[in-house]
Amino acid sequence: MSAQRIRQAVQYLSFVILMYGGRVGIHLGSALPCFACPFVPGCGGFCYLMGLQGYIGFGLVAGAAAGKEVLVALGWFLVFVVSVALLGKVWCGWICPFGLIQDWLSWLRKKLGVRERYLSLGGKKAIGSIKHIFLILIVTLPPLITAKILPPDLYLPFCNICPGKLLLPLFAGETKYLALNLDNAVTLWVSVALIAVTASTLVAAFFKDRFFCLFCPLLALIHFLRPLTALRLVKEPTFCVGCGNCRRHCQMDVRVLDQNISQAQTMECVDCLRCLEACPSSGALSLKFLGFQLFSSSRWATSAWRRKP
Amino acid sequence: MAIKAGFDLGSTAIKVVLTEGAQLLWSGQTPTAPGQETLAKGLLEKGLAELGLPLDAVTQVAATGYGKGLCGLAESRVDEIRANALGLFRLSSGQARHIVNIGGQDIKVIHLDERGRVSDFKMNDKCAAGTGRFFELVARLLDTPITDFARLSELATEDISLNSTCVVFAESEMVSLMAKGARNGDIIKALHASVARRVAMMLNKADLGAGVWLDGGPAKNPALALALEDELLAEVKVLANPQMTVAFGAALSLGV
Amino acid sequence: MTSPGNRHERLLGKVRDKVAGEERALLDWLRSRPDYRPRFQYFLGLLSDRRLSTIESRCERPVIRLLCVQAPLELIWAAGFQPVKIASGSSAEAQFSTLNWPALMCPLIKGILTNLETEAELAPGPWVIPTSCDWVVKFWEARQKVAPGGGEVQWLELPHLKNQPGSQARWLEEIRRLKKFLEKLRGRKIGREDLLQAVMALNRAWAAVIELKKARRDGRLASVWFLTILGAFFLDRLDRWTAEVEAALAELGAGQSAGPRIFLAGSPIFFPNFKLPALLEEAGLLTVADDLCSSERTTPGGQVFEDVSESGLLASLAGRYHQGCLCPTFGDNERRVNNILSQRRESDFQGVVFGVLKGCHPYDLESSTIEDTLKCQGLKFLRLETDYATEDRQNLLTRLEAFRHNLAGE
Repeated sequence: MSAQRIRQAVQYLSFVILMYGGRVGIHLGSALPCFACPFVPGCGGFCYLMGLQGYIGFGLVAGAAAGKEVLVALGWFLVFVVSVALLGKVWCGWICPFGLIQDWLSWLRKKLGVRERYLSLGGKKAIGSIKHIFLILIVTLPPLITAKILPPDLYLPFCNICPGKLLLPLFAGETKYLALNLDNAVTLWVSVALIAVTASTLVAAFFKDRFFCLFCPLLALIHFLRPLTALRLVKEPTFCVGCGNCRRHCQMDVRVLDQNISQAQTMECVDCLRCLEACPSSGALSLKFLGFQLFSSSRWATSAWRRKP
Repeated sequence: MAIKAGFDLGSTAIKVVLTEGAQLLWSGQTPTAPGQETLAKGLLEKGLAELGLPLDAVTQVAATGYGKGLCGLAESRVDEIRANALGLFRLSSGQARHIVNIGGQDIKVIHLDERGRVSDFKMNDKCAAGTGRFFELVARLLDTPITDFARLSELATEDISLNSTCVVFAESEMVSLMAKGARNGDIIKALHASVARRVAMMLNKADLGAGVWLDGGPAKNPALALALEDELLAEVKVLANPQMTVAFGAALSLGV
Repeated sequence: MTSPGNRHERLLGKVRDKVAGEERALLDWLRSRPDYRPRFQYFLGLLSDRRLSTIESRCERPVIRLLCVQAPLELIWAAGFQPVKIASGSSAEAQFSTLNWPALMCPLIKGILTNLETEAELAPGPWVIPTSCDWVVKFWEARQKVAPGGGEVQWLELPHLKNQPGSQARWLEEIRRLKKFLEKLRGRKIGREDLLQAVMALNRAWAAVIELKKARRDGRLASVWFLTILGAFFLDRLDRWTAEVEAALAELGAGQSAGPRIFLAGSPIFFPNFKLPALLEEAGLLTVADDLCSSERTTPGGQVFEDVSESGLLASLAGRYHQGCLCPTFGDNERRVNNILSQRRESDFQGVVFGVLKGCHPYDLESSTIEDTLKCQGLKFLRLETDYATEDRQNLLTRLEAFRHNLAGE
């Protein structure tokens, strides 16, 4: 069975568990390294970004005196680190429900025969830097909100403009985030921003595979923990002939893949393994868990190009 | 007593050796002509007669050389490179690591490991420059027997050089040198140097610490070995019967 | 008295006879082999009549004459043409044009230049020529001397650096120009669906080639048959050729591999010049893989398409045929050797035989650097320089036999 088929199966399974798991009592905690959205009624786990914002706001500032809150915050941070250490970016390419939604848009674009738009190196860099801005805001805004310097309606600032908050609850029949929140001026602007960000992300993701992943702050957070990850995409440069299949098949258009260097996993990489599947040079690319080989590229594999588009 | 025979059916000469164990009993050669197998058989009979042995004393025959496929007498065939390695390694008492074989129409460079196995080799591509054929041609051109080459080469006084490695062009180069009044000795010395250069190219960067063993018919010309030493900056050793090593190796390939 | 023109005609007649003789000899040899199967007759039949007019009526579409392996075949099929790689492996053809051209010249191009004279239908018609090696670049000029007039050429200016900024974009521009050229010839647009269909057809064919490669690796298919089957690749409709390969594969028996295993690299080997592969067999060496542009590199392989829009497909094709090409004419081609190293992992060969056609300078030069790299990686290496003539068979065989012993560690 090809890696892509397995990935697809895992994506759908994760989608079901993360979106509906709560209805049958599954809850995977509040430190998941993917967009498992807490705003989905009956979801099966929470995205760590929410917890992070929450604990930074409450646990570390307001409740600094209460040691227990700090311990809980550190506990969830540890859970997050361990989750990333185990699976790395597989969280992005295989598990993240918002990733799957973006994959649907790519599928639709291909069905319609619309060409994919590529970003220039500069454009990619500029968009990529957004995720760092997000991260900075995620860390700095919550204390300001707690300290009432910023209005309380901005609580969980990233969630307020995260397209996941609007889209994912729709799958549980929750449509309220589609509407403008007219409670006050702040909520109105926040809901306008949410709709605008979501709409533009969707349009962009239609024309460019996994557009949101380019500036996802969670992906950046996962990447920072890369030295700890057990699961790695590994390139053996002495087997690579530089044919470029990997780069052409890559959803994230990682440019260094076909270069004569051993680095394969860049910041953008979501571990989708399409490169590995498309590589005609046996052993040039492989996915390893603690050095144990799970998948490896093969010259005999035909799955990447035998599939009907 | 198990007598074995090795045939080397070369492009210029047919060589036959008779062995017992690893012992060389007899060797003989005759120029290559049509009917190679009959000629080889003739040599074999001559050798046996000289040793005072009956015709059926030979238990096994191995053939090597370009004519090996035409030899029905031989029950075993071995390629020249391996035969050369086997023969010379034994004759050099296991000392040889690098062999240069100059044959009738090819040059081989063979590298051996410490057990005498071929580790690498090179052979000239479809070009007779520097081979025995080349020497014959020059001998004809200068009207001088090859056996005199070494003596004449020693008498050389002028330093001239033959630039061409191609037989055809070397020939015209020599004709023009002769027309300019160059002496035979000088031309022959230049010729040896040019052959040595060609061989040196085939050895390129190999470390020749243990020296080089030169064999094949033209190795009988000591001036060639000298020229080669000069070019390689390494010791060049020649055995007593350098044209017989390959046939001897063929016989050894039958096992001792 | 006969006029000089007549004499030339009679000389050409003689060349034709000799070529026919060479082809017949090879076909007879193939047919008389113990591993011949009636299924193979299809491929031998294709090879026995390679006239363009025959191919056109067989495929029911006009032919595009191609040199080299960089023009995307899918584009040509999508336009409704049959791509045919023009090549010559005939010793008589190569010899005949020796007097006209440089002595040390690619025998393949020499052969084609003769072929232009012996086959009147070859020259007129559309040609697609990527500027790969110098011989190919100067071919069109030389062609004007032996077969003046007629025929038009679409050059593809091949960027000789793969990793130079902008080289991919420049090559894509050339591919777009090729598309326009084909559209103009055919009088209709090449649509996305046409392209997609051609891509899928080649991918199916390439999946069959992968099975062929496996069969050769496992000793179920002799290398000479592999070369024969790939040699017939351009001579029939792609779907029919593929179906025949699939049928032949289904009939192959169990593997019986004997002798040291080697990888064959270097200059291409074209029908009817099977001197080297036949000698490899005779010397007891088993060829389990190769990287010849006449064999495993006939196409760069299965086409990966991520972006299935028209421009996406074109970009993907262009990239695959350029970056994926291991032609020695590229300046930054140092990773060509990685293909051999990667293949060794599963094809399990101990040595590489590198054949250089006399006058084929890029391969000649590369053989030396590749030799160093491979030896460092523990592979044995034998370089053979030869041309289409047969008189050096013994010399080559001696070396191959010694190489076999060398590989066997004797």
